[in-house]
Amino acid sequence: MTGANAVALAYTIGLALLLGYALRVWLLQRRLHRRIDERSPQQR
Amino acid sequence: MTFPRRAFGAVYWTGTLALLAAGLYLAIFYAPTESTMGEVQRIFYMHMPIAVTMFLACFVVFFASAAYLWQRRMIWDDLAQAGAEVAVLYASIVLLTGMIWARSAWGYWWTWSPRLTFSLMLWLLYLVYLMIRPSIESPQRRALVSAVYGVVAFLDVPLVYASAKLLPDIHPESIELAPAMQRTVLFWFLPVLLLCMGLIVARRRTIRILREANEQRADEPAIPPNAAPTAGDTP
Repeated sequence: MTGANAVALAYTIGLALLLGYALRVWLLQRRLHRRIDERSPQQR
Repeated sequence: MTFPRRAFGAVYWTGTLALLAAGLYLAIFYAPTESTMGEVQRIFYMHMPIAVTMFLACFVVFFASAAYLWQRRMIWDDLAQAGAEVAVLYASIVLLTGMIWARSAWGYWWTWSPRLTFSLMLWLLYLVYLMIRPSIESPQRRALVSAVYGVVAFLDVPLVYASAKLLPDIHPESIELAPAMQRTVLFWFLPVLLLCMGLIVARRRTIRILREANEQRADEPAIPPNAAPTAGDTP
């Protein structure tokens, strides 16, 4: 593996894991807040 | 979610992503090529800040676990779980980027050197932390077992840090950097730290919401005490 290929692979894996987890947390948070917003005031 | 919090979140995450993109630019185009290792040394700009920030995530687990043992409040358990998830994420990146670097620089993917071994142990410890949690049904018992485990698991952090200094190791203890390289690695700490803190806070919030929803569901009686009798009920 050449140096440039190793760098490309390392940054791709690193950024994919970081951004993938961030996306997962963001989607989960959005879904939960949407569910809370949908509740009636009596249920809150 | 209130509007100011939403606006702050949007600014925070946009800024973090912009800093991450700028860090990527600096690592690839701005930092000079290292004379001994060549291009592969550029992995260092991501590898090192993430490794240091991983210790911060481990410390969050330790602190929150100790706080739970002291106060027995579930908010600390939520924080410890969020910290452990981020610690596993960061440890995975450290191990993978390190292995790619090792393959290119040393010629092999892995060697059982003290720092690499203790780093693998750290990853496994926090992975097991997350795996044992769902296996304990009672929330209080789960929080207690996790808190004790979270305190004990932190003992590996000083071992990872000190192993390259105290024991003979192929992993470099420290390396000399040109000023442009120093600026690049210092810059990388910004997005990596912001991501770590933002992810822990956001994940802790979702864990708390889910826990409170579960508690609410558990508190609701199966048959409401003042429910009207239905047609099938015997008098």
